[in-house]
Amino acid sequence: MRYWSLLFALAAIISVGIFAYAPISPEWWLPAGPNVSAGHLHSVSSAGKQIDSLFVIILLITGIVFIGTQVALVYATYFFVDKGPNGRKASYFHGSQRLEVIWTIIPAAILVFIALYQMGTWASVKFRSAAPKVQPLAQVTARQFQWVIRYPGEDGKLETKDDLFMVNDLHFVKGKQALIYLKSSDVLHSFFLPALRIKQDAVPGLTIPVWFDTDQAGHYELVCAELCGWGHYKMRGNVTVHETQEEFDQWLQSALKEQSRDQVAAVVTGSQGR
Amino acid sequence: MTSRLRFVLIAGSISFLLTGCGDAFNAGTISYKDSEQFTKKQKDTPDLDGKPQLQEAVRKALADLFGPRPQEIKVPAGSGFPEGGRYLANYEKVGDGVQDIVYTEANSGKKVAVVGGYGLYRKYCLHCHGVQGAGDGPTAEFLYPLPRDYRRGVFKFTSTAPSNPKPTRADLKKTITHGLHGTSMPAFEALMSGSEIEQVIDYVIFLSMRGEVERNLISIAALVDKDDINGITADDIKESLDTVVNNWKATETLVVSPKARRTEPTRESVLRGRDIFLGKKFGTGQPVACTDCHGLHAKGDGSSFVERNIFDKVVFRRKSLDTAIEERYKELGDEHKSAQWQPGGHGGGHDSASSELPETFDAYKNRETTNWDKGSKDDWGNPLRAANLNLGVYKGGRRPIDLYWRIAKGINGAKMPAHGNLLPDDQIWDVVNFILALPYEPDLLKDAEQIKKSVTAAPAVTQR
Amino acid sequence: MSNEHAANGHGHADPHAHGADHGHGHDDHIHPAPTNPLFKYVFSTDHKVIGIQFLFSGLIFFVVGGLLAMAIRWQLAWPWKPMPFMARFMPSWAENGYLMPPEWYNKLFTMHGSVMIFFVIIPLLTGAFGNFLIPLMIGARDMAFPKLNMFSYWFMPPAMIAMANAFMVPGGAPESGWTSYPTLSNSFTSTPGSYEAQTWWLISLLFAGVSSLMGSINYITTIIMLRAPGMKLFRMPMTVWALFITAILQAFALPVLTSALVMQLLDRVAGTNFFSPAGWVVANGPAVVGGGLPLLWQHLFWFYSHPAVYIMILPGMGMVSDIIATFSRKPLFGYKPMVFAIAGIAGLGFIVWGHHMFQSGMNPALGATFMLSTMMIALPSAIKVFNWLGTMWGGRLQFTSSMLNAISFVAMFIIGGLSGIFMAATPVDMHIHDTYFIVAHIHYVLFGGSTFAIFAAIIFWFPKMFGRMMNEPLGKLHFLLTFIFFNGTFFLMHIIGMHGHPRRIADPTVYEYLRGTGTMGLNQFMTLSAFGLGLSQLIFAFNFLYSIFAGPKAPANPWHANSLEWVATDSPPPYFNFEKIPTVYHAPYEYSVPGMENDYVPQTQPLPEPTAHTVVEKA
Repeated sequence: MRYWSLLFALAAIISVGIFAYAPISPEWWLPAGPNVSAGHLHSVSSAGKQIDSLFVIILLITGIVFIGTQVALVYATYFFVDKGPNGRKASYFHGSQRLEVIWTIIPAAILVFIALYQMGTWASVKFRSAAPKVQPLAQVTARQFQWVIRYPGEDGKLETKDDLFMVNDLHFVKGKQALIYLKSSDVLHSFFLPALRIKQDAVPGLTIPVWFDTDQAGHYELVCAELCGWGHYKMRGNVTVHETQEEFDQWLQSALKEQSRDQVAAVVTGSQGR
Repeated sequence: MTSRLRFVLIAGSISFLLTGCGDAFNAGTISYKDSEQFTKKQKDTPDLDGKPQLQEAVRKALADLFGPRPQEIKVPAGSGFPEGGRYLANYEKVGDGVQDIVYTEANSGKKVAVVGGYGLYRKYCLHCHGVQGAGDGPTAEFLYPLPRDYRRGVFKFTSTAPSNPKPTRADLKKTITHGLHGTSMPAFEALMSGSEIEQVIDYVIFLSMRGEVERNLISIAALVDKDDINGITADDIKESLDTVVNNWKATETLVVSPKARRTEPTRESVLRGRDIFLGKKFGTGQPVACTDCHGLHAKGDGSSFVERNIFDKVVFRRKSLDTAIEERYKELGDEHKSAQWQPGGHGGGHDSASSELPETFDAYKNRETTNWDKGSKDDWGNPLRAANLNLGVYKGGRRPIDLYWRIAKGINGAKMPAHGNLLPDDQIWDVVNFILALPYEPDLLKDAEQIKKSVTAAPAVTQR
Repeated sequence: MSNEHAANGHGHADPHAHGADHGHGHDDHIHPAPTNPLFKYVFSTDHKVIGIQFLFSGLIFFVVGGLLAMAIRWQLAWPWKPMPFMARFMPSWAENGYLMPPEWYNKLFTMHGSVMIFFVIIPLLTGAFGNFLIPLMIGARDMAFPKLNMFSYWFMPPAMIAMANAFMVPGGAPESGWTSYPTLSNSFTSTPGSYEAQTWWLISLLFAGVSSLMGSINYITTIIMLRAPGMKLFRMPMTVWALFITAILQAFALPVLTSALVMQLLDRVAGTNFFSPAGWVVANGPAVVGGGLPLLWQHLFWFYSHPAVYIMILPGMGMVSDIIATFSRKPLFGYKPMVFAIAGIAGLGFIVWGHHMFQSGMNPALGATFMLSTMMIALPSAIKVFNWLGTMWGGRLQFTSSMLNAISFVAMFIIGGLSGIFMAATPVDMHIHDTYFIVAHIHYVLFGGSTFAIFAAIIFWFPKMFGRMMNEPLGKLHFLLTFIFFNGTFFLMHIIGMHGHPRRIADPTVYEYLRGTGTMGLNQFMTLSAFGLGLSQLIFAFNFLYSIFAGPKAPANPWHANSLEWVATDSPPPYFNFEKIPTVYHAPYEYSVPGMENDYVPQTQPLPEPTAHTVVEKA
């Protein structure tokens, strides 16, 4: 009968094993940047690094609690099993005030610690007062089922005639804070950059600032994380992080040129114009 | 050389539990459905109702030309697909066996197994556009506008002229890559690679060819006596096919290129564009009737279309046209009545005669029914309304060249006519400039009524 | 354990018919049992019959919800491949080669969630066990309002019909998830399922809500008014405590949901604009007048639905506490702290709803306060876990299939509780919100928690319900397979969720970072496990149905438990429950009292004096 405890032990060991293995597998761990093959398994954004370290701290704390409780459970189910009429009797007690106090105060302290410890990170990634004082990169309007991204043109201002309109194509520069204004034109969507740990719902009727950065140039993916209708899964965006501002400006110029095209091109590039 | 090749291609699935394999979604057989012209009596188009032998003959001809099932593709000889249409499927029939179709990547030189147009279409497009490209997939029913039915060989947004020409590959590529903003057609740039999009283009053209040949054959067969076994000859079949194929081949030469560069979007140009929009005649141009459809304020509420309220009831609430018109007439009556009781309302509520609507129900119904039947449907018979130009949403693209094409050569199959023969290029550019400015300057049309009156009532002014 | 010690010294097995019994020391007025089968089994006012009605309808919908889940898993593992077997029931898919249209995937998870939450877990826990157990455990002849009780069940069939009807209307079943966020849900052009089916979904939930509300009012009144003599509040079994607090939660939270549902219904059918911004247009549809805000729905919905999460777990906690104490042959560790913990969870449960909305665009400062309260709600849950461990510690554990399910409730609830802490941490939630991490969490709580509790409770109270025993070896086999496949299905969801796999997407391979064998391989493994999990339930179904008709006859108290339903009446109990209303002397956890011949002391039997004073008061 006591061997049932081994089932619970096995489940706990496998669970711990899975989480012990996860950090060394790029497909299991928190999504990394574009240079994942080079062994960079950490996040590549400043918010992401803080979030990852918080994640690891919580993982360790919960891991310890998990192992502790499972050991107790397995121990109890192994050693206190009924051994028939001749076995020992169950001990008779109704509880212990001291224990109750201990296991109320210690978890409470840990939980309050976690809660307070992360306040700073939360404030720095979401509070509007923490938004970087930079020229906005773009206005991102989610619609079923694409991201309409509107970059300020030469005048550097949004909502003017020289804005560049792109679909599913977000560009910004490495090492610079990118600030976008997130809107929705129909239903709820959610702007999710897994590699940068950024997520924010796009809400009909609201304009929400979102900011992020990264220290690795390359290609990333933009995900819609809030159910938005039949084509929800299709709502993927390409993200390109440019090495330098010049590279970005160059791209912007060529895209603007394509957008103002008034002739049939000799070669149809077919990549940027709307 | 390649034009004489006749491939038999197999689109299928060999792997079952493996992922990463592009063809996993190919399992499960599908078959071409007869078009409604086969067995059902049609109002405006020929049909083969009650002619089973001819139906069979057309089916056989289609199977001979295009393959019997979507999974077994035959590419008609000389159809002009890149590489003879190999990229329509993922396997090629060689002797008794099949072999993978691969292509060599341009930049890396790697050989990659293709998913094939069929497989990609099936994964990304079929649930809206349907097995034979009829725009009747399971998701389609609740979309507005409805997905394209390729079988007429007509595509709305093309760069080509004259009337209802085929799109160029570049046109199709633009639609697939960037989607059609303002419709349910998503942008596939982020979902498929460039070469995959090319494969899908192949398959769309393939389905369109098949559908158009089907229509042509039915038109021929419809004229034939139902017991005539030799009703459709090999020549008929060849001719049906050749017309379609030649149209597709010719399309690249039909691209319309503006003769003049775009006028600088100055204030003058924008205002001129606005006046043209409102019907004013300049120089060699002819007066155009933009406002009939797009409305005085360019909100897409012109008088040639059924009232928006009725349109919404029919299209989105699925009411019958008669019910919608009746309801709307009642609403108008109520609005009319309550307007009288408002301060400053006409009639003051005492004059019983003015509580009647100025138009009788029959007249109203007549007008709206005509507007619906004649004005508010595209060539596919699907409901249609004019674009609201205040939103900055341009289905066919927002580049000046796209808007030029929309105005100069119209929208195929829809109510937007070509204006290339009415307006010189510089005036078309003025209208383009106006349309691009309107979302930012809604005040441009603030006094539309007065301007309209002045441009239409006083021709002397325009003959300066 | 053996079932031979059937009758104990306090059984009130009285062979007399009791129909004509008028007054048995109390002011009882006992009506005769109805003889017309229509009123005996269908429109019955007997709480036991109503409880069993809830049990059966819950289990039937459990099958429906389970099949929907299989279909979801299939699509995730092998996107767009024709589903074996089940696709054949979808004639409309045939012309696409049985490829699931993408909107169908949304219908599947929407209906899976709605059915499992509103038709399975809540009705099973509060409807089935609440009804069946409360009067029996507190020594009452029936509920305080038997007719209201009957209505509470008969409001469910309209809900079920409306939900089933949602599949048949144009556009098919609703597609906006069980959370039904506007503007996807309130604008009828947004997606096919919002065309008409969403209205039916709302109607269905309104009926289900009214049913729950009637039930909860009944439970509260019954527990306050109809306890047997001596059954002080702190002598009630944990099950009753949990159901009591759950009923209070429901009574306070449901009106908010009901009004939210009515608001959305009005938005859809009467042209109001609670949730759509001014002039809003969705998918080219007609513009609405607008002036509302989608976030309002989220606040109202979660104001109910977060407490609802506790509605779905607290009764499980109560029943598991009783089952663990019984099979540990040991008093429940920390009875009063357990009660306070449940009350704490219920109280805090009302001020944590914002943690579902950290990324919703709600003011992030508000998020910070919700984070603190959410962290705090982990505390009473932790206390409960420690107390269960304390209960088993030093006991004499009997691994019946019921006990195994109860222990795995504890083990799995630990995982579900700990993963909740990740979500409570707002910055971490930013990454894992709306990913499979959440899906893992909710299933560890609602399957690992509530469903294992339901299995445990069905096996435990089966003898009382049907007068027969369920088969133990089959029960253990079912438990073993369920436990393995459950973990195989859901544990790895933490991993893919951590990797950023969003929930509710029909085809993960669209995204490059999810396309690899690492993630898709896990998806396939999870799907195979899910099929195993589904098939394992056949064992339970067989065991359940077979035992109803052919199980061995159950004695009155097969588990040697202490509470009134075991010690004061038969298996199954007669109409009106007790021959004579019992008198209660202590809480039902007096197991292995030193110096007693039996290792249990029924609630109807006084404790030996010294023990009662020294130990009970201390707890």
